[in-house]
Amino acid sequence: MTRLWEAVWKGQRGTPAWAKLLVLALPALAFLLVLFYIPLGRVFVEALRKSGEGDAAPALATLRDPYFWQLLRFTTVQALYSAVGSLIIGFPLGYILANRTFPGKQLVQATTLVPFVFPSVAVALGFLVFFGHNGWLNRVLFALFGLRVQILYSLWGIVLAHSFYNAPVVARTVHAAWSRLDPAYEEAARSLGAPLCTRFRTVTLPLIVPGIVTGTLLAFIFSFFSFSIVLALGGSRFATVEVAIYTQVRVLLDYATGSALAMWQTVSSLLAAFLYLGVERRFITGLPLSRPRAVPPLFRWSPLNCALWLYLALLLVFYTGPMLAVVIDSFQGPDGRWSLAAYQQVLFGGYDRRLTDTPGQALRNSVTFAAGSLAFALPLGTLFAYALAHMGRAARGWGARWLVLALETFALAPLMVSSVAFGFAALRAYRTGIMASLEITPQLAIVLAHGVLALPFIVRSLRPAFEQLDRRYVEAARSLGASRSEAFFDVELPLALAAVLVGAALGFSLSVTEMSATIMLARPGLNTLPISLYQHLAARNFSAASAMAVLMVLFTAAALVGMDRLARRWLGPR
Amino acid sequence: MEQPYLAVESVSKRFGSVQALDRVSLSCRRGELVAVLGPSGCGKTTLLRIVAGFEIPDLGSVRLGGIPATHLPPEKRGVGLVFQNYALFPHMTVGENIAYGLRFVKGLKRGDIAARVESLLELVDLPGYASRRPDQLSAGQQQRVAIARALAPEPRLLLLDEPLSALDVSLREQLRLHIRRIQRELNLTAVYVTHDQEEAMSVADRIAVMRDGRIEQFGTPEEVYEQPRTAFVASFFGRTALVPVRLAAPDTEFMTGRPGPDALAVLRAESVRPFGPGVPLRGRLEELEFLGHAVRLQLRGEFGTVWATAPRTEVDAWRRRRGEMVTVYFRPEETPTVPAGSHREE
Repeated sequence: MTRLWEAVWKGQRGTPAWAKLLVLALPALAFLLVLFYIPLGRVFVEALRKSGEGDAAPALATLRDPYFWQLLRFTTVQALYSAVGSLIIGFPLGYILANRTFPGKQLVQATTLVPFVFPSVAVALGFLVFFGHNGWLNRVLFALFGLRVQILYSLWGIVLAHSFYNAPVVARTVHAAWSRLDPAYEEAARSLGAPLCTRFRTVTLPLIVPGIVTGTLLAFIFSFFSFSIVLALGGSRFATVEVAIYTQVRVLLDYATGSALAMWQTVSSLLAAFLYLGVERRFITGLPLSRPRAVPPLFRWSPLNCALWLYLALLLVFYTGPMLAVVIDSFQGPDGRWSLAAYQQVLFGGYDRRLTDTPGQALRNSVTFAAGSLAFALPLGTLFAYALAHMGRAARGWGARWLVLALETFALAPLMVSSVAFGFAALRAYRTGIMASLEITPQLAIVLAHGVLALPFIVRSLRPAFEQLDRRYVEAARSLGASRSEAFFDVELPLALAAVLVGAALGFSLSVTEMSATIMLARPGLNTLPISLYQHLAARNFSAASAMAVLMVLFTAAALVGMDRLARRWLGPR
Repeated sequence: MEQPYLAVESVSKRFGSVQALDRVSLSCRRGELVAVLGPSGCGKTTLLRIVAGFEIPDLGSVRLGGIPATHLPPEKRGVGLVFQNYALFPHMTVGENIAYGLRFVKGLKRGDIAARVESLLELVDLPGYASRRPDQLSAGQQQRVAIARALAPEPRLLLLDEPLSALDVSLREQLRLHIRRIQRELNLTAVYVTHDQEEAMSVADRIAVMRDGRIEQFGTPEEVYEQPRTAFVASFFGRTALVPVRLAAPDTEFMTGRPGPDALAVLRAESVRPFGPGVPLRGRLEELEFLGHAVRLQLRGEFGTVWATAPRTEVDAWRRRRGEMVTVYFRPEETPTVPAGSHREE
């Protein structure tokens, strides 16, 4: 018994002390348990409890409701189409990034991060302004051919927006898989006589399938749980489960149906998370390349390069078009002339009954919430990622590996669980039951919710950093007399600092751009930038919404660039 | 004389500011194994990739079996390639890997393919391994599978790129004999790239020693060892001191050629002995290494540092003489000389 205890606490030669690592993971686990799992559990209880004699529990009643099935079908179908659309749009970009060089490639590569840091409500606005009935596309089409196309407020409008929003995700994973593919495999196939098509089909494609599958699966999941885009582009006819929860709770005040939907949504998102992690786990290959992949310039004549050119030009139009439209729109007055009226209105308009908060207030709220949530999520996430990395590295055998996977899933779930369902759960939990006595203020509620949502991002960006860190550095520090924790603070943390800052930046931009959980918790006086933007948009005040979007993007970009500068200064030239 | 099977003629290749190959010529007769030997970065892998067709030379030409092949794509060359890290397709079994090149051979039936895979596995001493996955094999086994895969489509030329560099010493020695045996049995024409001089000596019919994108010497292992043409080639083999002739033996006529006044005598540790006859060299015994089969002495005198080899039985006697002045001898008639100014840059 003592021996077992020793092994678990102190660790044997070459194995870490599991119990110590668990202690490090504990604060994050407790944080998530209290603020994420228990609230969601309460939603489950509410959804499964019968409201009166003879009634069915809301969760079961929903299953008998054709409305629910229709909702689910629409959600799934649009997510499927969107995933395929993202693959079609994103795959060639992944190919180009991994196999060609061209001026501005770094910029394009950086913009593939956009879906992770760009407020989706701004994307929706861009689509409205660009593809709308009186949007730019239709104005051009009308001027040229005298016709208009109806894209928005339909299944295809939503699918198109989701495809463009999530295509960079596919491009990223495909790019990553392709650049991890050792060119020696393709060369081996060539030297054995395989022609181009066969080579692609039998060697390249099977080896980059991991990237394709994970990217497409992510696009599906993001589209399935997408909220703001559907809310803004779906009109009154099209709603996904996410939007339905919001409508039930915040508009119709039907908490029973809301909790039932939230429960099913949570179940499906957990399933998706588990599926994704399982798929991702299976595909990890970290073999070093025998030689770097050749990246010939894109601007060299060949039929394929011409096609890629054309494709990039189209991407440029369809990505910058909506953005440009928003910027130009923000400078247009009601009479169509250039004007700063929109900015005047959002910046100095003062109190507006429809909008509840001034932009200045929204900006202040956003900054406060972001800083507050990072104060929780950064230390907790760092410790957790560290523990997970060391457990994962030492995990031998089934049990240990499953424990690590379970812990990881536990911490990453907020990333995958429907944010609207979570927002609803938090709303209910803080007002009723035991947690009501804690008197969590609405401000703190939003901060904590953002902290919960930021934690997985921090864990995900930090875990690989700790995992890939050469353990000999720590061993060297230990052999020179540093204690375990000194080695952590002197060696491991500084070496992982870049990843810590990336995690912080991701957490920050998540908090600033998050809308679905926030809209469930927000109340007058606590609106954030995206909510404020949405309110302008919902009031069909597009110029003001555009001005708001420009300000928000400028702010987010300034904050991220500032963090980057800070990081560079701290890390020095490397 | 027979036409060379592979003829690389005056090939140059530049990558940005780096001249990877500078007018390199190499030939390989049918059934011959040529080793390309040189330190990392000398351009030997670039040369191999040009022969395989993965790079196109800026200048010069490649001929295969008498046919111009400079611009022929790799898949049309019929050149088998064994990669440094083997590059076995991780998503295919061993059998599928070996059979891959047979897909592109016309007129093969399924049964033929299976039989050919099995016979190749027997050739590399791995019978019955067809259904294994590459990651279930040891490095040495993967290496043999890589050879079998390259041989499957019956290539006209086999290229091996540092095929043994990822293996440990004893396995390396075993496998290089294995490769040599297969090459002889099948009468293969092969180019073998390595940075290990011992490997090159043991395996090759001829050796091309490369440095900074040029071939310094191209000849049989004996020629390269016994008659090095440059100081670089001389110092590439074994523990060798290069001592200016005027310091080492000012009075002696060297047997091999008439060296100029600045020539360097190539004093290999194994041909310098602590007993005569020969020209004496006197210096302080700085270090000695017990090598098992012999004792290696390191002397320092006005000529610089020289190594000599003493019988293993004398190890204790030499240990006691550390720091003393000792005399060693070399035979000028067995000692090659090289021109000065061709020294290896460290």
